[in-house]
Amino acid sequence: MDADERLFRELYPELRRFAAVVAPVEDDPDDLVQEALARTLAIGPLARLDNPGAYLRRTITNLSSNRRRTLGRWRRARRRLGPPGEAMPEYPSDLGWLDNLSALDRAIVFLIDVERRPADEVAVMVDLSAGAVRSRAMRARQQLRQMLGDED
Amino acid sequence: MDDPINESFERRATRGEARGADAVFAAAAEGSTRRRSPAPLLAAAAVVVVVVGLFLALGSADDTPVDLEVVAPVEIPAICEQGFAIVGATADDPPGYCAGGSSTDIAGFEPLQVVGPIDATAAESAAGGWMIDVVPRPDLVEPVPLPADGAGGAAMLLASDPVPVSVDGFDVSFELAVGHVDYRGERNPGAWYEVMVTPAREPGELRTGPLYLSDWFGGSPTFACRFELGGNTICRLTDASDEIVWQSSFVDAAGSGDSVGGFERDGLRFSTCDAGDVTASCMETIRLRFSDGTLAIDVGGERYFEQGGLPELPEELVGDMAYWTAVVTSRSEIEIMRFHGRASAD
Repeated sequence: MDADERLFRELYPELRRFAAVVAPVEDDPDDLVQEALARTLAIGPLARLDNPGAYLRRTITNLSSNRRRTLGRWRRARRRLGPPGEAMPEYPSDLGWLDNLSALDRAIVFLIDVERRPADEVAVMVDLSAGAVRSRAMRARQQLRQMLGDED
Repeated sequence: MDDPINESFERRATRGEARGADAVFAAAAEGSTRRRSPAPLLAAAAVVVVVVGLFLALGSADDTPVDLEVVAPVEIPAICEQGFAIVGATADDPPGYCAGGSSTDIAGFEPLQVVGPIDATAAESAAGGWMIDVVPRPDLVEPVPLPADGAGGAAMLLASDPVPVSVDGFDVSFELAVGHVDYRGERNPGAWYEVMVTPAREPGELRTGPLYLSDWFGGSPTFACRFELGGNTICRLTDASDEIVWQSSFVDAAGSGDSVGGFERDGLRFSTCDAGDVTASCMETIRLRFSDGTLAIDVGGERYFEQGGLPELPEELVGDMAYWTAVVTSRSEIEIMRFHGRASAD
């Protein structure tokens, strides 16, 4: 087992959780982790990076943002075609409602509120300033609370 | 954990069955980015059933944005030395001033100056051009709250290649994209691009005027335009004594010919990226031509602004001129503004 493989083993559990949150609910989190890792390895070994965990999270977030747009087009096109076929997957609303946030905002709220990471650390992971992270987290939480309130 | 939001996040974080680190690594090490899990494959099968219909539906969606290519984040190049607020900015950095420095990693441009209470958090080479993030820095203005209408800031970049300018004029094209709500017409215009053609390769005296970054070239003849969301284009020629030779804008008439376009809704032609995007495939191509006394600006191949009957360019602006582009936000809230760009001159 080489250094990259060992490193990835250490990172994988948290990356997988992160991807499960950030990826659109239609997507498999492992696919996203795999794609992020493959793209990163194509550039060079993981061990070259100062902070491979942060780097992979940024890549996962970027991939998810792109995927969200693709899915958006897909959904719009599907609506034009009428009701989906039976093979189209359905997902519980308690998971899917978080998709009302952008991938980036899901990442930020998850890292700060659930994983209890400091804003400075999250800032590195999502490539923003700490101030921007705090601000986005606050607004995203407000948005989610608003949605919860609307459901009541 | 009794917070329903956090509970939702936790459930989401543990969804699905993990394939395991070894399986994921093995697939990635082979270079595979394909989705291999059963659920997407089933979904893909469903896609096949309706692929023709989808193709037709997508084909008719003229307003569908171009899907953006995802680029893995590159390691941020060291662009400037200490005191520079574009890369590696910390609360200890002075508020938004790049002391100079240069980079060979940014194709075509080198960042030179940042003004205002901002944090430009990243500048990366992107799709052969440059990319820069401009973010207000509340940490630098706290405990004083941000102004009610947001913070301002800007970044200015110098093209590495000069623009050849003849007596008759010049022809430059550039591509820019921006990720910010201010550029989508959902608020008052708070962000804009500027372009400048001038012999000056560094800022001079600060003039006052509506061209925030271009007005840093006091003492040098400067042709400059500002492109604002609302279409409130301002183009101006200033001479070496800072006298305005002519100015054409939404409130100014210039030259003997008519001015066409560039007002209000026309500005909505500008494309935008989402704030988190890393690539530049939503760039807008903007072309400026000055020829035979006519300034013509095309956006996306369409005529956007035109002003005829203008005088010839002054001698000081003839030859190989410096070409600058700038991005400015005047009242952004705490939100990232990402600018991408490329430029060329014929």
